[in-house]
Amino acid sequence: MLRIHCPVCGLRDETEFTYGGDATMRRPDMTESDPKAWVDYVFIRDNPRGPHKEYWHHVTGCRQWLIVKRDTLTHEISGSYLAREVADLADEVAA
Amino acid sequence: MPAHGVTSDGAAVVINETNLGFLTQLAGWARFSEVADAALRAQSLSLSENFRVTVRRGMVTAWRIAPDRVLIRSDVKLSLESSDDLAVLDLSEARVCLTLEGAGAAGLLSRVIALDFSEAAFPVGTFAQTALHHVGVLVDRPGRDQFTILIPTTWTTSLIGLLTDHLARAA
Ligand SMILES: [Zn+2]
Repeated sequence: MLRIHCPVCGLRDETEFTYGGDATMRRPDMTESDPKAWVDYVFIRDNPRGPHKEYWHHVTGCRQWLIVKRDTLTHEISGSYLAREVADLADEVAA
Repeated sequence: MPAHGVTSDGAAVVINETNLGFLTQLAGWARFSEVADAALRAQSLSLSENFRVTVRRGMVTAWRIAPDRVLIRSDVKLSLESSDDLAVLDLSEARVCLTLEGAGAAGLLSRVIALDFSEAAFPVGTFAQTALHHVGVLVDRPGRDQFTILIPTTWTTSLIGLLTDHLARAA
């Protein structure tokens, strides 16, 4: 059983969350015209062994989207963040 | 209703459905803290910074359920209006209010919800949004042996059944 720390609600049982997929994917620029870039973005995923960043939705709690750093081999969770705060940070870095 | 029972520890529990009154959700965007606080101050309330602590003032209770969302339970309809920065939603018909009372209330809940209901982990005056039978519910603890649970209206029969059944047979 996984227990995931939600920055809003605290440490909670995995059954309160739904998995939202790979959080390392970045959408191609909207002007991108190469179909391969879009196929990769929509369909192609790695299956990493080891540290990974994933989206989790705290669906029966605060309903926030989280980015969780989880080791796929050991299930160890080394950090969790509100996805929108990470996105804000990324925007700040980009700006 | 009410349903009376005793847990396997010999502690009594009474489950009841009570009048919810009015339930209002405020939701917003980037300026939520500022805008919601102003709207709540007009009702003699204020916006909590804390996602665990229940704010109570007379017959009005407020729960900050997310960074940009707050739920308010009141005995009279609040005069809050939506604006460009604030979405006011009447959820009075969308939730039903259950109470669990008695020395066995925390024990019964700890058997059906994956949270620690000890007084240290879930002190009086705090709340949590969590899952009961995979259904999103809000659990509030106004007293040591007293819990209030807001459940989605469409799940009323199922969840009352689950709690009373559990109390009668397994708890
Ligand atoms: Zn949460």
